[in-house]
Amino acid sequence: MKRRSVLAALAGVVLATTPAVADYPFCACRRQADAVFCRAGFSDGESAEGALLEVIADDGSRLQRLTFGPDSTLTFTPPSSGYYVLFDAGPGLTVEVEPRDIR
Amino acid sequence: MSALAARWRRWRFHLSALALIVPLGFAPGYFRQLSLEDGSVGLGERTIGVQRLGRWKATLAEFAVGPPVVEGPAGPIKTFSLALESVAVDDVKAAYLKIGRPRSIRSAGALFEGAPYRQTAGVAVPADANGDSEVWLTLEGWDGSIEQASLPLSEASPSTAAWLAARAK
Repeated sequence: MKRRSVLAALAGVVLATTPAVADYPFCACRRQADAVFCRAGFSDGESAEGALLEVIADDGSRLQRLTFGPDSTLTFTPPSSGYYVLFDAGPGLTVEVEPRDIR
Repeated sequence: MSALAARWRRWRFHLSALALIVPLGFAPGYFRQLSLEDGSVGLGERTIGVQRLGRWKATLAEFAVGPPVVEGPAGPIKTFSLALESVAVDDVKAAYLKIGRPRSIRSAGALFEGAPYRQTAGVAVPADANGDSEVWLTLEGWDGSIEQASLPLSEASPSTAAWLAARAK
């Protein structure tokens, strides 16, 4: 009984001093034949399922609006003209992927 | 009592002492982190200076001097802190920081979190960043107005610029 109390107290101390885990977003895209394959998520391991990815033209107009699947990935056909990719999981949780980083 | 048990009884005292001494080695780092988090060292470990953004002012600081911290797949993250000043405390809805010029308010970078007088944000360090890269601070007002200011990364965080230079070699 005493040992159980000590273990419970230790567990309480450990949990109380565990720092908050920040979730930093990431998004990486690569060429896959004629398509672009993107994987996104968060540094704490959280999936990006349902999060938004937009393909935006250089003039700021939206070309495609997609959402990540259950495996936190998606594929899209890239436009022929200049564009960039915006992973948008909410304010402050966005990642821009430039075409030069899509290989 | 077996020889092994006797040996254990003799040495468990030393192990207990070791268990108390080992954490002492981590104490300076622990207390440094505490002083950063409770604000007793100020806004951050190194104040960058007052940034003027239109009618608003904000003081920017490096939360901790040193290279960015690698956060798993999100890559290197550098934490900055910010204090809004005078009218900006009431006027500013959100503050963002990004390495590299934002294309729009949606991609203005990391969102500062916390009280207006002391907010922190973890900024992603892009793979192609270097000391000449610019750090962009964006303030968004409750009235929808946007103000931006930029400064060189080498000025915002010399330690990050040095880390990037070493990584490039």
